[in-house]
Amino acid sequence: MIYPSYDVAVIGAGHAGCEAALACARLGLKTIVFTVSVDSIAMMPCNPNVGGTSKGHLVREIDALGGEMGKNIDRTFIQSKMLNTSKGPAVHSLRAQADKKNYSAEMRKILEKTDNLVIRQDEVSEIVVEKTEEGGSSVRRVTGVKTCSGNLYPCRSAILCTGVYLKARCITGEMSTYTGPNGLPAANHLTQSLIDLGIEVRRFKTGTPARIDGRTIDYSKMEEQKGDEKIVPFSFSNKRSDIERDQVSCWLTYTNSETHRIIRENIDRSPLFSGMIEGVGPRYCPSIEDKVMRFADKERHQVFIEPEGLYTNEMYISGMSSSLPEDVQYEMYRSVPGLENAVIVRNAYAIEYDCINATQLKASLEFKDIEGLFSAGQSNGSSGYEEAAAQGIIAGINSAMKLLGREPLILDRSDAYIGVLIDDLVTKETAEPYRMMTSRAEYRLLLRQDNADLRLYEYGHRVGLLSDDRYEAVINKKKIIESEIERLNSTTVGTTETIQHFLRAHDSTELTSGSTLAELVRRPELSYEAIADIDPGRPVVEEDVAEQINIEVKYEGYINRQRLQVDQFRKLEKKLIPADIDYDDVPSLRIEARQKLKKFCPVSIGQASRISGVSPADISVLLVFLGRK
Amino acid sequence: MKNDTIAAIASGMSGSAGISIIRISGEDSFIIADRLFRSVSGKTVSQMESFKAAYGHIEYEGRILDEVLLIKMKAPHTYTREDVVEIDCHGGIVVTKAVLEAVLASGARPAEPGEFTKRAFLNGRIDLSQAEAVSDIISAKSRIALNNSVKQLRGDVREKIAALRERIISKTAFIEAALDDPEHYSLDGFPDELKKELASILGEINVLINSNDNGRIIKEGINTVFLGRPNAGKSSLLNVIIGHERAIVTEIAGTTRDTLEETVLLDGLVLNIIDTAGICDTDDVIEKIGVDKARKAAAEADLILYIIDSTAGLSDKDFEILDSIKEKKLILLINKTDIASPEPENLVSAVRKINAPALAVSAVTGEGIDDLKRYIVDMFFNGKLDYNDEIYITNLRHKDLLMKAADSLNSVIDGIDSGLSEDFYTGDLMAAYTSLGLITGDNVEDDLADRIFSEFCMGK
Repeated sequence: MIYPSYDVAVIGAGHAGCEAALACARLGLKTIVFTVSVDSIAMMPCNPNVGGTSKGHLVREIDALGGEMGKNIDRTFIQSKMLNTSKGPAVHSLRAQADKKNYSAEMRKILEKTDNLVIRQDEVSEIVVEKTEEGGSSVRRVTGVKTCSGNLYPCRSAILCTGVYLKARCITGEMSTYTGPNGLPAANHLTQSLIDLGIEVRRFKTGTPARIDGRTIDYSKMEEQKGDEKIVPFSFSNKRSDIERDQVSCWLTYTNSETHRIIRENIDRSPLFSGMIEGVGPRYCPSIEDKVMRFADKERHQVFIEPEGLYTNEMYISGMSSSLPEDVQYEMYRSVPGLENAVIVRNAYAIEYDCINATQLKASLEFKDIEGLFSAGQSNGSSGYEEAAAQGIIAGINSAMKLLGREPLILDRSDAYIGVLIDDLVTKETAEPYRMMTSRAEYRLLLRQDNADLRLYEYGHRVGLLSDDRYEAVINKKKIIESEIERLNSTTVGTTETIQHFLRAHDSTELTSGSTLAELVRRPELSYEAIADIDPGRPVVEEDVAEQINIEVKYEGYINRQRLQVDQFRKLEKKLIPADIDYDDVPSLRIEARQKLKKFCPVSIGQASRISGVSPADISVLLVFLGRK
Repeated sequence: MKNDTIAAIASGMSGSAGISIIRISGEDSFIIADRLFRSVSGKTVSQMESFKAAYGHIEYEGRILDEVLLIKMKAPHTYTREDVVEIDCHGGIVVTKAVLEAVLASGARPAEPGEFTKRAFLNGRIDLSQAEAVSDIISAKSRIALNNSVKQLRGDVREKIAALRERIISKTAFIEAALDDPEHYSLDGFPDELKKELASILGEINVLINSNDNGRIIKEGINTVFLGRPNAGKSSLLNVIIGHERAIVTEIAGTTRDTLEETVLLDGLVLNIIDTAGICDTDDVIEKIGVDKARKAAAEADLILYIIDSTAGLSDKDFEILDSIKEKKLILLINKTDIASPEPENLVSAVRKINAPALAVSAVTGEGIDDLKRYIVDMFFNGKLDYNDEIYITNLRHKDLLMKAADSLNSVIDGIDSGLSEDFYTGDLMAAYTSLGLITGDNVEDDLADRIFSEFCMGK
């Protein structure tokens, strides 16, 4: 049958699909989201946490744009921790353990409450694309999606958020099943439709550790890992008091030489080493057998035992993902202190799946040559819930912008980690599942998790996802920060006994002449908070505002230097390359550069300069060519 | 928007006396010029009116380097739309280079090939004809010279730089791994270890920087030496090729007593053309010096054009000279074909004995010159001709990059000393890594992520 038409069809209701569908529906578009199982909306099939280094930044940015992930984890976390607090503010990262079932259920509730949004359990098997003549050239455009049952859902835009479900295959030792994660059905038909559309498909692999019955774990042999006492919310719309609750602990233990011996002796039975797995796996998230073989000189590896939720006693064995056979898994896990009597509830397994080569996408996440077809999440070759959600909200926003006849939202590398993530995915051919890292963000001193709201509120509001109230609140926050920094720079203190006494008490050098308050804040041993005693003129400010003031003043030199770098970077980003450029007309380009430029069709000189195989000399030649026109 | 300030020699640098122009562009142009320029009138560059010239001296570290004419041009009505200063130097290559070095030491950095034009374009001003004219130079300099500038590095220098980069990235990768996975890797005590390592790396970089000062001045390009017996017509041919009169040409054999250099752009290929005194046995002291220089130039040449006077034929002296350069890339040019009857029998058979291509040319009619140019370009692109591999780091660009790397590493040490966290200075570490990579022609790309993944056991 043919269903009534929708504006947007979102294929998949994982972390990317949920953000995409919510963004479209909230922007007023009639949206349908397909899932192979309604019970698996926003499911967390692997680690039971959200955030972590650089991923926490992504969640903050999603929230600043008006997305849901940050709010949802705030509702459902059972432990929260700010990582890297002994390091600079750029690498502070928030991570929260989730109650998996609750996370999924709360997200489902949000979807169900959202106007314009329909949830449909069905497997999409085909993207319907029509070729039309427009303005003298032929254009391919999405007109609908078909499900396995043969029903047609006409739509004007479709967003692929298929995660790890395309032709998924789970492998444990010699046994493999053609299913998605947790035994859910795989989506076996859509890949062929993508190939028929000329889309390049790849095969990636990832893996997950076993889940163990918590009653069979001896925690007395492990180190307890507690959550923070002072919890920081993920969402900028929450205050600490809104989300405070009792927290549960995680536990730390280690592998040992016995564990490693078991793995080595059985390595020939590992599908990774026997060649049974074809997909390319990520190096940063290696299975325990991979770690033991590749880092043979390491005597032990850390193992974190994390609760899957309050509803269950299942524990996630972080650090020991594997695809070894079941009997080896048992032997291996039981060699770890505290797990001697462990009973496995679910085996560890590797999963292989089809995904697309994301260099076929524009930075808006729309396919370069299929109008209205977008792609987001793990199906773009990324890994991680947060990376998926970040792409999901952008694909959703841009699908909406397109249908509303508005400019797409493109965040660049100096705006956000989301910009770095998407730019890397669409510009560099990553050979493995892509994970966010703070070292990938060249302007990370500016792109902090603490200032995501200040960086992105304009975008979120312009697009229409950030409410007027929150927009006003950020503007107000910004004003307070600016005026307070101004006051610190212009307020001087003299060499009075009060000041000198204060400095002596803080192990800080006494003043020989007058100093501004800002100069004092910049001293390593002092901070904005610390000098409150000698700053009677200080207004009362919120904690997050004080944090911004402290960082901006204290690290002013470094921050300004990065701002200058960003100015340079943006100049090249602003130099656009006309879509109709013929690189064969550009003299002096090297052949390799010419081929790469033709393949990637970069939109700007900046993007062109990041394509591997395009040298600075090629960029100069290109600039002059463009100047001549 | 802000841009750093760049400088370069803007005019073609010729070996003999003549004016060379150093151009400085960027917002600090006037400040930098003020650090060096002492005008006769006493006015500073900042006080000068725009689009006015001033006469004075370039003074650096208490020494007067050159007598110059300085022109101040205020943005936006300049080539790059930035503040521009041009310094007309009068003292030839060595002095011009010294002035440029002083400018660089005072806060500018060397311009990349074509960067002035690139800025003109980026700042929204591009002059059609100017862009056309410099585009060839950009592609030549960039495509060939830059790609091959790596070859100007001596093998051991390159290895040294590669080893330094290796040490830098391995430290950086450890920091990043620890920042990314704080629960697995600890940075306790690491800054002290890093500081020691950086001090050692800085020491090695300084050795390289100092070695550069002693290096001989070379230019990027193919050293092409004109060789032959006196009065074979070397200078006349050179003039035809470079298209204007440079060497003094007379009818008296032995007029060119020194070696002469000229840069010629041949279809995107930079040729440093070196004319020499004719090689003969002579008692004339001055001439003898010229002959010795010619032999030396021939020994260092990448390509030798050997000129034979077709009216005089090949003598024993010719065979003797040719024998001494038989290891070199060589083209025989049979000159004065306008006077001689074409290909005298004895000449043809004599030339056949020499294992080298021969072309008939005439400096008077220009016959054969285009064939010669085409032949040289073909040789290069067929890989039969190459830059001299024996060249040491001499290039200002290399020196500047070494200094930049040193600056970055010093910033890291400052960061450590002021107790900053590691994430503040990994940027400087990578900047040093990148600067050194630009010398050896290595891209950065995803080196860091690769290193982290391959060396550190990360993740769940």
